[in-house]
Amino acid sequence: MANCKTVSKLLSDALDRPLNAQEWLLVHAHLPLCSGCRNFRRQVQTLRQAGERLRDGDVPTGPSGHD
Amino acid sequence: MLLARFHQGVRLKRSGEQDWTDETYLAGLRLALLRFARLQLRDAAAAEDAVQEALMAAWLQSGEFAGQSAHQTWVFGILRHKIVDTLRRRQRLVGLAELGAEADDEALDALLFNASGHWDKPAKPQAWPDPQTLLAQRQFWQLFEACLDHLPEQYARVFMAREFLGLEVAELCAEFEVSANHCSVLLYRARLRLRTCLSEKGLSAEDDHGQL
Repeated sequence: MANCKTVSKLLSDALDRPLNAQEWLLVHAHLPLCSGCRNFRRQVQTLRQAGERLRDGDVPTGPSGHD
Repeated sequence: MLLARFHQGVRLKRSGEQDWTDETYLAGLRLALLRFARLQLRDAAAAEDAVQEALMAAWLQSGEFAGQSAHQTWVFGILRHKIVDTLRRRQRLVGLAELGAEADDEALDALLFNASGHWDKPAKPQAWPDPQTLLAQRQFWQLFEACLDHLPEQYARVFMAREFLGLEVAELCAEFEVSANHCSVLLYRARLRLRTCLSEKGLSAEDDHGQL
């Protein structure tokens, strides 16, 4: 059984390269059992989306200071 | 005659050049560009230069755009190239690796993972709000910037080159002269730290229905 440290690294790698079959199996055997890693995956995907928005200047702006 | 004017009006309205006369739009665009450049260059003067160059290049090449949003995306594309150029001229990442982030990494791992490498209970990642909701909130971006500022320099650079500049990993490793394996570790460390920082600063799905 893979541990979360290994799986979270692979989840990060998956954003940058395709996982090989062995890695993929390892991740997908683990995810259904681990909400922490499922949340981690959504979080790094959110970071990716944030980067895409920032790249296009699609970020909410407005007068700073009314927070 | 009228029809000709009408067409001219439409043409003007749809052309990128018209954007250069819209001062409100330009001022907003400039601010957004500056913020993007500052985040990545971490140097106000260098950011100012990159934005200036990008705007100048955009102005010189200005073509036709279907609206301001397309124009803005295009200008951001030019700025990205300017930033990559600036990063290229800077010292290589290798020199920065000696700043001692590794010791921090071990401390962070000890906090996040237990002895068997599973999430330690209090540190186990909790759900964030839905990305659509989250990314529309200005407060998210403030937290995000604050957390980026806390990243060690080499992590921030690699992360931003990948996620903000959109460089492919092979390109990025070559750029920073690090191995593919080391590159993937740097990206992982950056993402792990950022998500941890954002979670600590209070991102949680519990507040999904209200403000962050």
